[in-house]
Amino acid sequence: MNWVLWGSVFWIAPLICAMLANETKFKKNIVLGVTLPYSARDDEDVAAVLREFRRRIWIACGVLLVLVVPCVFLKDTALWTAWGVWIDLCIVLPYVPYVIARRRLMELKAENGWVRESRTAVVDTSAVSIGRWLSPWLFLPPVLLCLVPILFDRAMLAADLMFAFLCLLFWFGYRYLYRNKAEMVDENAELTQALSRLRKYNWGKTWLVLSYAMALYCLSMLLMSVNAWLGLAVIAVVTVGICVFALRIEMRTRRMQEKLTRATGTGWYVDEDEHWIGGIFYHNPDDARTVVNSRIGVNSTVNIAHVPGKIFLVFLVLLLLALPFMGMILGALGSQEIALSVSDGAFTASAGATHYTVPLEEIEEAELLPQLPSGLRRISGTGMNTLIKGHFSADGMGSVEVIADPTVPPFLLIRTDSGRNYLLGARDPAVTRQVFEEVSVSR
Amino acid sequence: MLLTFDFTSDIPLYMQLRNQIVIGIAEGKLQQGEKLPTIRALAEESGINMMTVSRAYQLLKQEGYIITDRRKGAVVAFRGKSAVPPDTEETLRLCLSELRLSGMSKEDAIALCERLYEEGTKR
Repeated sequence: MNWVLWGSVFWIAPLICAMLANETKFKKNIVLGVTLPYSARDDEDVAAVLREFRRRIWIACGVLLVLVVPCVFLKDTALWTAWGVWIDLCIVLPYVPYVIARRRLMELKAENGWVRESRTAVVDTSAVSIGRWLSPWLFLPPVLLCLVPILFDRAMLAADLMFAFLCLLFWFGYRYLYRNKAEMVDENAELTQALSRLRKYNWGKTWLVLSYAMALYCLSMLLMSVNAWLGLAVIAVVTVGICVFALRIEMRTRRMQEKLTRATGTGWYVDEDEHWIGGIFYHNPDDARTVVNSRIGVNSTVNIAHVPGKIFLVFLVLLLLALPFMGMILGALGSQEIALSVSDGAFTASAGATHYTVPLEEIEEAELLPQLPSGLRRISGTGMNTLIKGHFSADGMGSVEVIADPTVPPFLLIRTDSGRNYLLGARDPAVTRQVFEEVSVSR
Repeated sequence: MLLTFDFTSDIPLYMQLRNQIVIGIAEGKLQQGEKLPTIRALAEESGINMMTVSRAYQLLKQEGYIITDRRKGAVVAFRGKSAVPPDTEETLRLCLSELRLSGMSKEDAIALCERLYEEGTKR
């Protein structure tokens, strides 16, 4: 369990550090979030700052990886807390040398008179709306693929619909999370057009592949009902594939940006440094748009000068702050009280916000199972080591509503005359048995 | 053609846009029949409000510098000889007054006007 948990995240540290180290290469005249003229590329002081940054960033990476080793041996809440803290460190620590190096570059920029007048927006009319949008029809096949499993297994309806909705959401993300702005570096209109096409093409490719990956996830869930290991293997392959693909797209775009702008920065060039706080956060009250393109690569970010951008940033910070508490939150969720009772002619089961009530006269059959039914799969709800609840499906049973501690047999299986199934199990086996007897007697 | 919007200027953004397009047409940077970006695209590109771009385009349309077509969008209109708008004459009067007050001689002012006029017609 520990190895899987850390194995699934340890690569984040070298990935973030590699991405930041890549920013030491000039792209669109920008290096470490600072716009510099062509002459700065041969400047000894600039080169020294970049060298020192690369050294520090890989030290930070080493520290983060070494920290993983003792954490592998932690257990329960301590494990999850360390996991959350480590991910937070991964995101924050590499940016410390980044901010220091950027500040030094800004000083060099001022000392050498490389600062440009700003508070202006420049538009090249020949490069507006360059590049075509992908047809929305291209996103339809993955949506339909997500609906295929419904033909074979009706119990998966909710999950399949969710995946289909996600594919539609990806089209929305593709179309509306992109700022259709020309990638202007200088007065060279052809260069602006080439950079704009490059970004838009790769942006579309990313979202389209993601939507097809969602369809594969959905189909692998169907596969899991036939062969659990095969289904899991497909999910693992798709996940690794998505990560490799996304990284490849980002790095290829950066490489092309670097190549295309290798000779720029000699005459007039675009400099938007004053709108980028610390080179990371975009703050421009003169820009009416909330979603904006990142300066390099293919990503988008938000303009924190506007309320939606601020809300997004606060949400992100809260999410990061909440990560270390995940262990405690999961612990509390996993030990939620499970209440089973028979009263007022009805059977009730509840755990947290999940609550089932079944009138006794509707119960057709009640059975005490020594173990969980085979092929029990979660469709929606909670699936923890010590608590399963929500909508599940099982072999030969179809859809089943569950509230149980899977580690404490026996389990009470109730079938109603309308064909609904309930699988229940209290934390105390005596309670489950007592409720079974009360249900059997009352019927 | 490059359009520059100065957010610190006292001139409203819609007027900055209108002025630059007029200068662009006069200097030949924008040709007759040339398509201008749509209001939405130009707003998206520059980060200024769609209403601001729309206002500039309406003004340019009223003055006859552009025509708008539902399918083609906005295109630069042919502008033959026509009467000088009263506002232009007033603006010129003001500019010449400012030049005189700054100490510029009549000859130098006329030479400046000639140079700017030639820049707009030689392209």
